[in-house]
Amino acid sequence: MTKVLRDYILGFRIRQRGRRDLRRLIQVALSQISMELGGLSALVRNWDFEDVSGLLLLHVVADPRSLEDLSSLVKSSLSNIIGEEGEVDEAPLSSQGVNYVQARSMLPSPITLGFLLRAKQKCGELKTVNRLEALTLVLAYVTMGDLQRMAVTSAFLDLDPEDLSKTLKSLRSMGLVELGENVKLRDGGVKLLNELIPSLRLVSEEAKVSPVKVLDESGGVEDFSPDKLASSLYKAGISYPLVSRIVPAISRMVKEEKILSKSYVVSMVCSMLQELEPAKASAARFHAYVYALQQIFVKGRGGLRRLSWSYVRAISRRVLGERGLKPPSRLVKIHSERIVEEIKSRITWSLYGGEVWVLGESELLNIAKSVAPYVSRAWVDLSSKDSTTLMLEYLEEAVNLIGLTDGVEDYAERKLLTMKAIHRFSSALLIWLGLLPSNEAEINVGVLRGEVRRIAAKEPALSSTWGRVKRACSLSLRLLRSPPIPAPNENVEIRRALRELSTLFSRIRVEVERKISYNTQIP
Amino acid sequence: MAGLKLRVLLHGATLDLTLTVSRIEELLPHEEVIPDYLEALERAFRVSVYQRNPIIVDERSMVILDGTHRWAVMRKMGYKWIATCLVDYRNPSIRVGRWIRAFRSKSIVDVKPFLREFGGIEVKHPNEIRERDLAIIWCGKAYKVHYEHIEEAYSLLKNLEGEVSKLLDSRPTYIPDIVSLNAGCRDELLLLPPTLSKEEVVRIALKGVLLPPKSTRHVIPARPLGINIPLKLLAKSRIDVKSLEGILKQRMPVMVKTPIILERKYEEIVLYFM
Repeated sequence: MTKVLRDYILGFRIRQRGRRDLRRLIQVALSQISMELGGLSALVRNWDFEDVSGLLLLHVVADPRSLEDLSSLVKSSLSNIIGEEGEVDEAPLSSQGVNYVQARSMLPSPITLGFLLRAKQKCGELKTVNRLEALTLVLAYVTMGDLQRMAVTSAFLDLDPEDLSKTLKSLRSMGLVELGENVKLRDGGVKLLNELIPSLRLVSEEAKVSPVKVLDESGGVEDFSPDKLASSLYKAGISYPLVSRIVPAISRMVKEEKILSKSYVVSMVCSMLQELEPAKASAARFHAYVYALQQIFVKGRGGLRRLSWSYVRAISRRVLGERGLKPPSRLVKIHSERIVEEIKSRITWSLYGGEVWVLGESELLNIAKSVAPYVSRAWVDLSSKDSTTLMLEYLEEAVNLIGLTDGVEDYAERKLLTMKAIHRFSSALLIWLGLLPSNEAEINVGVLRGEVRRIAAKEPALSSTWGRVKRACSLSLRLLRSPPIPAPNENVEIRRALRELSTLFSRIRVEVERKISYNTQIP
Repeated sequence: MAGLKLRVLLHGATLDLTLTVSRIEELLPHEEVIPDYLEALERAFRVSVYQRNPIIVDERSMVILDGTHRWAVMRKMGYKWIATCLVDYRNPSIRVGRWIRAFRSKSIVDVKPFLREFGGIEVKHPNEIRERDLAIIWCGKAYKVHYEHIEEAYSLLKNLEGEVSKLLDSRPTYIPDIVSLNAGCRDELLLLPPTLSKEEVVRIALKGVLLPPKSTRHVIPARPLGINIPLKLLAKSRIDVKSLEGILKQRMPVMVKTPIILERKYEEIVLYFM
């Protein structure tokens, strides 16, 4: 059955007996039901709580048929979190006594609004239109030509409503738009946007990588990155004013070089830190942070051993594998990096050059467990449910979420939904294959694609299900890498891919469910 | 005028709203306040950290069109500024109506002798009562009270309201004038104030005259709610309006399909900032 999605405001009245931070509790209650919301084809866009009257308003996007279930779900989650210290009721918002009314977002999502704000700076004079006309055309495009949304959004872009009105008339006189109840783009307008939108994105010049190479002690080579240097300084506990002085200075110094040793860069940074903060141990802290791995030892049953990447990876595999699913090597890699970052952040403050830090193996395992949720939410979910249940939940959520994308009127919001749907779909399929999914959709799809290739190598006549999974992976990667604000011609491709992916998700879900039920009938 | 300028599209017309802050002392009320309501509102302000909804003010005259009680409470509490929604009062989509006073009575009381004191004259039918009349409708009969000028009419209205309350031992409820005047229900006396014009409202406010509470019922076709301006900001002697714009721009306006009941019923377009 086709889902019709609409925006609603849902009302609840919270009467609290104690004086607790209700805003935080509401946030917890809403995050706890995020998966169930996906199951109901609903999204919470925003919420507002009035602490004097206890009125909680939720802005949701939902299928009208699921509103009552949604309301009960929110109410029960809020009641559980608030417990005996308060009471939650539905707040009637309409004359009919129901606790919901229809609504309409007046502003685009933050990502789309951010694009518009950048567009305001970057829209230059084109051959046929001036800056304001170009911006107005983009605004009409991203708001789907909704005049009321355009009028409100323009206020957030510091455009005078009168100027907007005049510019729209001028675009009409140029034959780029039609003005009626809404703004409709004409062919000329679409053509102009196909040229304009890509030019407003971050151009490659801005994201260009440095040509300077850095050589580490073991012979590894990487590009010199001011961002990475800044990140290391922050993580070593160096204050922002120092970081902002050191990074540009070092970047200037190394820009003429072709290849540098890592120790050379570290020495330069340490010497600057010592000069800038002579009375503090910033230089020692930074040095200790960079070379932390050499100064950490792990004490286990086999005695004392230096912490190495291979040892960290072994620990990672052990912890991630606790749920009975094999962690893919890419997941182990990012988990290991998190573990090392966590250890470094703990020891940086206590280490001065020359000292060593001894870590118990159980401590290391605890650190690995504490950072596991950052790389695999499924690892957490699997502690309370079996893998088949979780897989089926993810599949259901994926099908619902991809179905929602058709009704979303904001490009960036549609992209986020698409990413979430792909993440859930790829996670479900990886679990089916006995692999632990990561929190990154792109990693999951990459692993899944690799697995499908492996299956194809064994069975050249790939089954229809795996054939569909292969196609879904290819479409998913294309969609994941698509721009959040597509040009009209790109949007046509995206919509086509989304429609196909939606069909594939539904079919694969049915096939997987059928296979599971068949398997469970045969012991 | 600095602030967040929003244009709301009405059917075939537009209404411009400027969300900003105004100096409390620069605003002009045109109505008195109801003390009981003022106290309740003050209690709410004492526990809140925000001014949630802006008051509605005419951008030319700075006359308060809606929100006199909030203005009075914040002034009493020592705030220097108040969040306002400035509108052009001349915009034809903003209308002025009146609040009819309805008194319930368990017994039939003869009002003629009492009305004589006020110069009340019986008219043939309630339908003869016009918008500009000060009138009473009771048991199917209608009475007009003569007045020379509008301030006098409202002074008479105040006295009449007090006297009718005493006579019927009943407090009035205020009903919008859009309710049909099928008056004369046996147990309800209606006291009808004359409807003011926009020019009269502004003139009276500029003169510093205060009309009785609930003299005007301004129908503003669009209303911003939930803007949540921190009260501590409004207590400062200086405010940078740009920083206020920054606060407003972090909230996401949602247009709600009305009617919606949020503490009271809103029939107009509601732009709720979430």
